Amino acid sequence: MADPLRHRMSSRVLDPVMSTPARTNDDPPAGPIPALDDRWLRSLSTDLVGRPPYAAERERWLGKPRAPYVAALLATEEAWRHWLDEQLYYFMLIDSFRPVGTSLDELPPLLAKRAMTPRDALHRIALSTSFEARNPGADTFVTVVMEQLCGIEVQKSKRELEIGKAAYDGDGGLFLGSRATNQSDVVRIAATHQDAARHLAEREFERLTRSTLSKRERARTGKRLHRAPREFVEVLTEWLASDAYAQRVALGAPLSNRNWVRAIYVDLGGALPSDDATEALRSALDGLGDPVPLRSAIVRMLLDGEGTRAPRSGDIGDPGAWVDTTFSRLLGRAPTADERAAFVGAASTGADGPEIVLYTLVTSEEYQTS
Amino acid sequence: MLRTAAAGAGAGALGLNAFAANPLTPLRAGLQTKHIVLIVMAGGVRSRETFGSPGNVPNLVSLADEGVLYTRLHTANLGHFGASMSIVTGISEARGIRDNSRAPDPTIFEYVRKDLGLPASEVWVTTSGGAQQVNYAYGLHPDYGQRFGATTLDGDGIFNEEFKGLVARMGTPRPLSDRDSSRVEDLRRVLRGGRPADASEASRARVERYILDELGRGVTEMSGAGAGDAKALRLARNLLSVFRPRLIGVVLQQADIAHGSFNGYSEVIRRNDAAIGELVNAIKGDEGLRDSTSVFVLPEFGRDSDLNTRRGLDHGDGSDDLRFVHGVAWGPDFKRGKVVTDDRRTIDVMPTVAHMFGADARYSKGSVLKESFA
Repeated sequence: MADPLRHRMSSRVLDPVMSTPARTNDDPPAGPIPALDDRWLRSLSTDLVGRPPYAAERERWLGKPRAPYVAALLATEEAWRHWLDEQLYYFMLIDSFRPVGTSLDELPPLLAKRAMTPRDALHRIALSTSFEARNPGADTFVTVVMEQLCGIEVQKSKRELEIGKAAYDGDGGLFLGSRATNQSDVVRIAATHQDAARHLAEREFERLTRSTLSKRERARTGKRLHRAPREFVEVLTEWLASDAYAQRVALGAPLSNRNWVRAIYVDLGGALPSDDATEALRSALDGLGDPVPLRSAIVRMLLDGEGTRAPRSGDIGDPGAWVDTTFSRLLGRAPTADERAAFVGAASTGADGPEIVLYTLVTSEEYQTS
Repeated sequence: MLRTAAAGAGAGALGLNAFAANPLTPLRAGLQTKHIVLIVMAGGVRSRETFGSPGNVPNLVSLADEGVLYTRLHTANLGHFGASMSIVTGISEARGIRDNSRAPDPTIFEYVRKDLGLPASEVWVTTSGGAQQVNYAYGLHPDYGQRFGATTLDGDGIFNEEFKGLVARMGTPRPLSDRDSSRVEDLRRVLRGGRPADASEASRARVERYILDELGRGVTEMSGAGAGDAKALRLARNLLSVFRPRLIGVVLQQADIAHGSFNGYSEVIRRNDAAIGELVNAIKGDEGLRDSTSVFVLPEFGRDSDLNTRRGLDHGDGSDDLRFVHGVAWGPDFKRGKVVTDDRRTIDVMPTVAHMFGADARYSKGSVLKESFA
């Protein structure tokens, strides 16, 4: 029997667009123009807006060049809402510390219009009451600012920490090379420091490509973002055209619990869950070292629920075509011959056949690492 | 719809008792211990508010009277996450306060599972600190890692009111019927290219069933100051009775309310002491656990000597109040009423647990607390 993962990998590796070297927007395209297949569409959509593509988006973009799709996504408020959520999660501003109905809600439209830079957005996050509540006291606050914004290991920078703590409490001092006399100064100096630009480059590259930025690239990109923070979108665009990102698409990447919740609602019901439902489910899944058991239970709940209920066998038309489309839509690939035979057989057996097929696919490891 | 097993079945009817371990033998010759509960009273707890104020912690005082009390466990102020992680890895290593990643070193849970060949249902961690704390389950060491990790539940995460409300609205998902399980497994085998399922699938099915069952119990309703910690301790108590695992780690967190409220902090300590008392009473009242279960309790570090301007307590002054904590070892193999006043380290507890299980904590930097044994 054919190994489906092997099939998936080999078909990816042989794809000529996979070997396209990293390019900048200024370079002319080399070789075939990278086009969107289901796998790329799903990966880019998940990474940039935190959900799979809707049916209409899939219809519109499949087979089209990748670059305009990336540009279109990065110009949406939805992409920056997702970026902001990722940052809030990074700062652990979740659950009872999640900012709701605050001035941070203003950030996504400003970021989408490029009227604000991500650096400024991070600065605003660190000034928020949620950040203050999450990191109470001078020691915790200054430590987290240094660690999370600048990537500094405070145990090796104790003097800087003490100066920052003194400034937090209202005493003056030279913090990270600039004069600080209060808590606001500490945040501003850290957020605009060159280490912050370098750290942002490092962690955003890792978030998108699931690989590590080389030391040289980290320094180069950090310097670029420090000098020109507005170029963040161009940097993201270059990364998404890189070999590192192509590798991430080929290998798949584990879906975070938040993205999984959003994916399962879109894939089963064609629409996102409410923010409250997303958070309740995300929080529950985050409470497990291995979320797979609870994910399976949630899928069963949804397959029997209003709006996400699985179709009956009489509703799917030609089972073969339905299985082909379902594989492409959910796994980003065609079924192998063995898979097609087995899944078409299952879809055609009993009125609940399609439900069995959907349950099997969305609880598979492959779906959860898409 | 997917056919499910009989609705409303309780733990017994679902066969959970069948998942409980068979009668166990002690793991190390000469010792009676078969189960260990390691409670990390994290969040930063000073000795002044525990054994320095016995009225706050009557249950811990009783535990110490019947076991061994350490009065000077040296800690490292590595942030809550790093300091708690150091207790389960036996290595003091700097970690970011909001780091949400695994440690490079193996944890006690991995050593025990690997060396003893235990399934995931034998080693658990319950926590109260949310997403970050599931990282205690396992590290990234290539010889250990996820396949030897603990099964981890965060009490406040899974058993939150919002999730329970959602489940109530949509209908509690029930286990698959045997027929549908078989249909799904047939398809999964095809997706795996014909390979059989590994042991983790059966283990996951057990965990799924336990969670659905637990949602119907009282854990979700717990509220008030320190409710997350109380949930973690209640879960540990329930897990002990259902699975009778070899090892349970409990990592608390909510004492950190002290930054802004000394009174709230004291209340969390009192509530946690009461919950630890309930846990120990459950052990003492269970014939299968009372003479074979050992308990360790220790904070990850203390707090500052003086109140801050908000009349709370931070943790960063480098004082002895911050750097030294009390800890307790209780169980059938420990001396009774012994007080150790010499300096020891919080990272010594982990190799001691490993020693009692006959596991080799080969990368730990701590030492076995030999003087505690009878």
